Amino acid sequence: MFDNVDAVEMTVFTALFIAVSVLGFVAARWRRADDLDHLDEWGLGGRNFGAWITWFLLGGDLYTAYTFVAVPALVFGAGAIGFFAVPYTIVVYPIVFLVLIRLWSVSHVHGFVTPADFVRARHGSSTLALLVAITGIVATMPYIALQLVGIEAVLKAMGVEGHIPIIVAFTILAAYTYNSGLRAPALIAFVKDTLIYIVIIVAVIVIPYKLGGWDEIFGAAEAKFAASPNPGDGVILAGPAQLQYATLAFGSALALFLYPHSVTAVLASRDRNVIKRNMAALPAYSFILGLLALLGYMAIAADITPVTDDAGKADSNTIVPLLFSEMFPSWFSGVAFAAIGIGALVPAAIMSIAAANLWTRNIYKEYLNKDATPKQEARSSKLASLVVKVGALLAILALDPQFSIDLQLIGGIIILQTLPALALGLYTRWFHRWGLIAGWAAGMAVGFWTTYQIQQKLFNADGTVTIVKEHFGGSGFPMSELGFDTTASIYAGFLALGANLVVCALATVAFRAMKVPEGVDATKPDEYFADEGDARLRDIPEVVH
Amino acid sequence: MTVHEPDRPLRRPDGTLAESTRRAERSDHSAWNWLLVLPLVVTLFPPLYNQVDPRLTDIPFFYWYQMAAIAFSVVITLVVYTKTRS
Repeated sequence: MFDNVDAVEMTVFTALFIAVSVLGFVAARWRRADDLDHLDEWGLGGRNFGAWITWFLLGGDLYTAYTFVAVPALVFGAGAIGFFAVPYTIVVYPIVFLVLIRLWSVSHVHGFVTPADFVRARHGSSTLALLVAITGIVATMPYIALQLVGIEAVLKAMGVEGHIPIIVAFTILAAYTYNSGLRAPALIAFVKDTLIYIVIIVAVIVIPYKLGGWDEIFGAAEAKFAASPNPGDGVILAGPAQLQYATLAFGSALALFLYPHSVTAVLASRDRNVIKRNMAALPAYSFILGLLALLGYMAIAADITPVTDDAGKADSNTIVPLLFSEMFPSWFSGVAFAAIGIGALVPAAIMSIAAANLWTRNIYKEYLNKDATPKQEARSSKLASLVVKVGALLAILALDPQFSIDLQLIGGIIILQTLPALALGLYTRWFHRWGLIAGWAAGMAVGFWTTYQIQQKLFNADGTVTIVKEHFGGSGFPMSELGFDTTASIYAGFLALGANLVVCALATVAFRAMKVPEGVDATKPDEYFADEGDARLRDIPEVVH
Repeated sequence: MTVHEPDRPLRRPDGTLAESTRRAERSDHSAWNWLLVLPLVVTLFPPLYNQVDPRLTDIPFFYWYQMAAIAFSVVITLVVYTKTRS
């Protein structure tokens, strides 16, 4: 298992890994509450995180280990299109600046823990809330699984073989998440983000220096793409790729804050200003992500060849770890690998907590145990977080990891379908609840149909094209399929959201004309402006006590 | 179960909005928020920056422009935050 492992590298990696694991368990005592047997405590860290903790937590949550290996891998393989991660993480903050603050306020008043809690109260529909909850869980599961892909990329690059190390790592993660709830990733995020910042800053100074400067790096990339028969690659976007670049960035940004794990981290903050200040401070991570994307070009200039598996398939996710191995002394590549490995733990923990909260609040309490006490809710969530992680582990070990990658691709598209109910719902009650359900169904159908149609092509040197994958080969849907005379593609999630909105609006008019009951809106307009210290509605049992 | 001190109500007894709520509402509805459209405009239109020249320290325009857009976006967000602080 450890035949080709560098002892120093492995020791540093393991030591840091053990240190954060200890931190994860200690976190239960950090900013300690009276008891952890309440979802506000276990699932939202006491709803009391200040600006700094929220910055580390959200940064640790949104910029995942998979991002750290997959974005440079995409740049390595296709060039400029991989840089979409930068506009994506620029536009997300202005968009959510206003939207999520309203969600925070109304959730503060009502004690909502999940996005589906809000949907249920706003639209008076437990069916719609159930759909939103299931969408959230389904979109989050493969995302957790992909964090394992991030850890595996590092382990492969270190020369570790077999699945035992990853099972051990995930078991420890599951144990301290169960024990400490959201406090564990919040505390570990400090270590993770600090390590990431150090590693990336050192990397973008040292590696270009060693490779002979940016001129050499971009020169090597230009040479590679000029020689490649693929018309879509290059250090700038091929003309038709621009539409996909923009829609992918915009669609991914809209999707990002609909994901349950983002909402969880936002709801955990103390007041409105904490969120606003973070919207200005979080782009610091986008800057790091941009630098990281450029590592893909450095890997080209350094002649890195990805690790191939037994079947001879190259795993391009390994290029960044391999680049670190080649460029850094063993002790520092150990630090770099730990940064990626720990980078997987923080989002995996938050995602599993978010998915568990959805299960508890919108399925367990809604349908299985209507009178669940806060203590029972907390216990249900803790157990569900374990189930979610076992599921993710099995998905990676028992199935082809490609399955999780495909699902995650669809995950972004399906989570977008909750936009009308959640994001638009924060502003307007105009949509009919059944209209929203109809729109959701239409969006899902279009999302699946379009991604199913997308083929992954390999361009051969002799000018022929091989279809590598018949279905789910990417997220860029060819506009020609829609009858447009162009070679441009558009982000499939965009089409799905468009269909969703159109059906939402038409169905709303239809249901209203048929006088189908609208459902009761449990929220009031002023509740969307509430801040810390403002009156909260309390559960009936609490009032009785 | 601990019951906290009675919190600030969102409305006064006469039904009008409490001062703190009114401040938050003003902040959310401020015209300054429209500035937040700018970061979207400069990044979501690739023809603006999809070119190699001019390079900055050998880095093609495409890359350093978008990195600079991050800084621009931060400045805009800070301005909006400062101007709408309740």
